[in-house]
Amino acid sequence: MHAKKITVVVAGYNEERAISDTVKGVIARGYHDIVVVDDGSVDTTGDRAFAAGATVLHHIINRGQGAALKSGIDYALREGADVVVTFDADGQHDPADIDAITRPVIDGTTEVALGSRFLREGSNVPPLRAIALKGGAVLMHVMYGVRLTDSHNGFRALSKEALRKMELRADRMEHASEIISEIGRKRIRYCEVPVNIKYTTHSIANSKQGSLPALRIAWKMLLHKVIR
Amino acid sequence: MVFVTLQVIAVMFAIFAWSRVIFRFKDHKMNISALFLWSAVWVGVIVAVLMPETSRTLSLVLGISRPVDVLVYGSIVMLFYMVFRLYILVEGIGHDTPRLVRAIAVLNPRKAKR
Repeated sequence: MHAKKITVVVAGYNEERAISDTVKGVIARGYHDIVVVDDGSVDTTGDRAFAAGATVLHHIINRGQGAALKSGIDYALREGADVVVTFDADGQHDPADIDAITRPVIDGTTEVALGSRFLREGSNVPPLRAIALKGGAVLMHVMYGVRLTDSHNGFRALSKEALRKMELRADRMEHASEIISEIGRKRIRYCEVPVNIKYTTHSIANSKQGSLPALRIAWKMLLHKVIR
Repeated sequence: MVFVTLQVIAVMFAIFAWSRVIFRFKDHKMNISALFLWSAVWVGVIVAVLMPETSRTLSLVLGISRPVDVLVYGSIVMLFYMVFRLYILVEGIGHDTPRLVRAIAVLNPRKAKR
């Protein structure tokens, strides 16, 4: 039993194929506070998540992963969460890693723990993906002063104190870099934790691995840096 | 005073457009400042069409050689202003929509059965 309340937040858009297993996998590890934000899906994502045992929030229209996570985080904090874990809906993340990623936040050694697929030996990251992520990590360091090995990993554990310090505005995929930017700006204590990423056919199809989305995110990071 | 067909059509169109402005104001779908703005635009069009010499006077005052250029420049400025207003409006909607979507979601959870 955890002394602190840990809530797992999952943003899902048209994830009916994977959401049920994702929710059951998290619950099987002992994390019963799981919130799935159905981001305007046109399939049965919300119903399946609910049937699997999650609390479901429903976005009446699709607003993007960042907006969905913000809804889930707001709800989790309202319900008294001490630690919020963000977790992908498509089955890429391993629920077995939740213990490890929450541990440094629970014991207070850090405020935010970020998952890194490169810290685990024998990681199976596709080469092009690895280059893009490493390039992103260099960009994050230059722009925000945050030193990372994995620039775009949705598996994180954040303390409620860190979440209250952060001003999250990005609605779409650039929310991931915005979180890093906020860590740098607000000098939030962070660490990286090795996590396993499962590259399934479904998750690869979902993750938009082309260079165009990555360039778009990099462009928006630069814009935010200039505007802020 | 003899009016050409184009002037008659232009005046009729301006009167029609102005009437739509007044009806929208009466239906509380337009505020008073928008009523004055659009009334000024359509009355200006009627005056310019019925009394072309006014645009000539205006062109002399503004130092623009041809009266018709005054109308063209004025229209361009007006269009830029309208695009700017629309941009502000769309930005506002773009900002408010996700807040509304998220508030509805957070306030109406389907709580997990335990």
